[in-house]
Amino acid sequence: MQLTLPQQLSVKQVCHWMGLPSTAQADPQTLALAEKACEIVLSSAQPRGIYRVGSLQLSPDGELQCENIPLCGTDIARHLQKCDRAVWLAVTIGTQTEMQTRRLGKDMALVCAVDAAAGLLAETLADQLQETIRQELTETSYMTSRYSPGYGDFPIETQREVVRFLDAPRKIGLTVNSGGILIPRKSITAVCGLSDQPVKGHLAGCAHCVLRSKCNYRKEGKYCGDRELAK
Amino acid sequence: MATENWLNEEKYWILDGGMGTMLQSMGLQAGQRPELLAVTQPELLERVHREYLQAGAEIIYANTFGASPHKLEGSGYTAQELIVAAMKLAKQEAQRFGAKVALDIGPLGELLEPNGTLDFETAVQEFACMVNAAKEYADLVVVETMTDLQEARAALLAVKENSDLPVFVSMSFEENGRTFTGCSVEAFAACIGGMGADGLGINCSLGPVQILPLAKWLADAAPAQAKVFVKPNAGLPDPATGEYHLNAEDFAQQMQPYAEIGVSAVGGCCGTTPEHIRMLCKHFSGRPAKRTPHIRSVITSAVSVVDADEAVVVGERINPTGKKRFQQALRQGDMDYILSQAVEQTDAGAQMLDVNVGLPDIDEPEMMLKTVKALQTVTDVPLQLDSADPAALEKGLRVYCGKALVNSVNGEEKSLNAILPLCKKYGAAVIGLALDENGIPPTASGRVAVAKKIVEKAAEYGIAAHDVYIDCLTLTASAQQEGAMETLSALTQCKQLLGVRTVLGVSNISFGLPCREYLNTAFLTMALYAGLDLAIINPNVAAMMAAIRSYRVLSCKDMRSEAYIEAYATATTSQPTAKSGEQMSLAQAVEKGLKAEAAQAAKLELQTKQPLDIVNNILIPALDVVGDRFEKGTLFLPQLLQSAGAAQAAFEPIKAAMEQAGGGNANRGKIVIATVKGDIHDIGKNIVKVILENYGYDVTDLGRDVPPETVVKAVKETGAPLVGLSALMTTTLPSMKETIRQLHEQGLPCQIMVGGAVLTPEYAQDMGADFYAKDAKHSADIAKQVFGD
Repeated sequence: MQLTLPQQLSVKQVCHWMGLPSTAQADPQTLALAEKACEIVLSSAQPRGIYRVGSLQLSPDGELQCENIPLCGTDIARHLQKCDRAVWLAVTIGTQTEMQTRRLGKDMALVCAVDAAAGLLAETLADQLQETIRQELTETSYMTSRYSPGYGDFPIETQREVVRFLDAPRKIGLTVNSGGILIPRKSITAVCGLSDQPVKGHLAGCAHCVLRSKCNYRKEGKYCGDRELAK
Repeated sequence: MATENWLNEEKYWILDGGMGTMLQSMGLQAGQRPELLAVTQPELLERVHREYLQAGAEIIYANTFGASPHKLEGSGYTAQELIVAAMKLAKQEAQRFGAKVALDIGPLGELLEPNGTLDFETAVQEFACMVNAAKEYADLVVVETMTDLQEARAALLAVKENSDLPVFVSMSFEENGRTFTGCSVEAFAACIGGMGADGLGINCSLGPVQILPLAKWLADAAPAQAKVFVKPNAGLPDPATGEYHLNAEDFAQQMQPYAEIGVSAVGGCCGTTPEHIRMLCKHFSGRPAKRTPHIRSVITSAVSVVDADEAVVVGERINPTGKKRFQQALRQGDMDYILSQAVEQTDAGAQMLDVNVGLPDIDEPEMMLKTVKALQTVTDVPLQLDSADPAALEKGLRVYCGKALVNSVNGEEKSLNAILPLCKKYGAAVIGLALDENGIPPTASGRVAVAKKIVEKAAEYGIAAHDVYIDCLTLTASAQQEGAMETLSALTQCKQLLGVRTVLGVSNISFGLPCREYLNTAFLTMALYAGLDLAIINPNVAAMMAAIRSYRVLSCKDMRSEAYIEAYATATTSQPTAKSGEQMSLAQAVEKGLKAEAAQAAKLELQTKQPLDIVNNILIPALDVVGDRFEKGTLFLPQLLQSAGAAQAAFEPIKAAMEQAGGGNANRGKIVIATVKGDIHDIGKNIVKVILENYGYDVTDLGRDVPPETVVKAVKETGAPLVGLSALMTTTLPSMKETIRQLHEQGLPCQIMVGGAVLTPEYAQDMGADFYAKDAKHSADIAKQVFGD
């Protein structure tokens, strides 16, 4: 389905994603850079999303799975505790923004700003789709927060199965390349658990995160899954 | 054209309906591979085929949609065995009804370059395997549900190179008339139609109502000899369940208007059933309405369609002739520079780009291949491939995604026979130079005669006159003054008498005379009035673009002067630059990250100092100051990058000065860098490159997704004492390790630094790297350590 582009993206947040600590004040030049990046991203993005509900089961050898998608690792199992179904979702901002980024050549400051703004847009779209799903499904069910392959010890390779389950290449033009990377690059796949009883899910902490030794959030005593931080 | 007699019959062809829909209703689970059924449950497929045949389908698609070797990896079956099984059983069922069987080819599931990462030739091979497995059993091949024009091209080439079967190609569009990757209906028709597909169609994604306007465009744009067909879904799916609800009767009702636009084959896609096909048969019988396509001369990429009627600007700057800097870029493989020329020209208003990368001492075919691939990553404008070497043209044409223009053939038999077949095969239009073995005919009538010969020869090869662009050749006014009017007269005659389009390289007119711009703009305006369609010019010259834009207004091509106003309404406002206000020192400009100011300051410094002294005594110390602040955490990545950008800007005039002083450069040592195999995240690597270059290192950038062997080869060739490897993901660390292993195994005397998000000093050490670079600044410190200050 077509998703709605937000009117604007948070310039402050883009500066932050470019590597400015949340405590630092962005200088006017960097703010202008971020603004330009937001403009490039919002004028080139073609946002699309898709979702589909599946049921959770234990495979014959006791592994949690959902419609043949393996749910490996302890973190995702914990997140989906008490759930009997799950909704898989995917969003993409399309291929055009990447071409606009490549046109910038060696202007790495702007390239990084566009990369940050594009990432922020993908997150914003995932929020939007999640909210649509919540309105659609939570009259009858409770739903956890969103959890993506690659978080904690939930393998990033799972993306391939997710994309297949969602028929994403045909439905929204989202594919996985032979190296397991989503193409278009600024895309997100994720899962939310569904249950008849109240559930919130448990997002992965830093324990299994591959970035834990150098994460800037962590250095500041913060956590990337904190929704407040994203605002 | 490979169309067999059976397809030429003037009748409606009824195609089948959804396969997946039927299989799911028979119990196929999500995630199960439908292609395996040909072996595991053949009776299921037989039943589906039979039901469609009983409903009236005359062409059925075998169950081979996803049966490519790559997609079937890990399934326990080969593509060969599944395809043969699926084709055989479909053929068996079809023969009972006197129907035909198509090999069905769907997308590979990975996006091809430039939108994705899958290599074009790999895709061609995948499809070729499918064609070779099926050709003994198939009556035709259908390539369907494509959203990437490049993939549709790969499949069509594979069919044509491996069989004589007729081939239909259909793509899936969104309601705006474009696919997910931006390909338009028109670009599809021009490109795939030009390559000789026997049928052009639209399938999936939408229902009959939404596809109808798109099908009208297609019927209008598809070449006359191609059949137009549609296979819509049973309406739009329910977003939550993915199910389709348009019933057979309504479906057939909504399909009725298609009869009026001249389609010759109809069927259904997702959600359609034998009942839908049965209802279709009632409405589509007898002879189809005659389709009268609107013939236009177009050159396209996947996204942009350029119509020769527009007075088109073709940028001439990607060409080494007389350009030292460009020649240097070609010899060094400096693709960044070549791409910057493309971006600059399209920003200035070029609608197409001429691409000439020929130099006597480089491998032109290889360079053409690389350049065309790279250009397509930064621009959507159609390309004009410019070479006298058929091998170079073929390399470029093969990977060019769209309908290209080939520059050029001339009236010599040898040239015509070598290049016209390539144009035909790849569906390109062609420029014909009005000269032959006797040189340039002095008179207009002589040039028209050569043009006529070219047009006739093109027709023999199946290339229509509207795809031939005659270049009547601009002669230099200072040498042959009366030549200008002869050229224009020939141009007008060719257009009127031969039905061709025209093209001219304009700038040659003023060679050897002062104030060339005056003559160039006057000649350009005269030529446009004489009927010039494609003007090959330097779009960076404002006066030339102004002449074109003015002509478009005065000839009513730019209605309500909209484009003219858009270009010039704000023309008087100038950009704030370093000229205004106080002069800033070079060091200050770099520290503050101000590009224009840095370039300006560098130019000032060059008046009194040697280029190398400026680099060593001003630029590098300034970068060190910025780097120190970054290290201490008083300045952050965005500012560091802006300073790097300012230093880059300062380098441009310095490099030019060095070039002028007869070579010499700031080379402090060679470094090879790459993002390792499997990883395509290259921002970090690119930052490192810019920073190392600013410090004066000669960086060979191998790009992303680089196999270990390529790194080894580059280190051997350059003798670089330092190699930088980058990987962003945990999944690509093994390939970083493998690259290091191979470098060590070869005993190369280089040191290796590694970096990337998930790397740690411990990982780096484990892998056998000499250095762990925690950020780009640190990589410059490591370089200093290796090469000395």
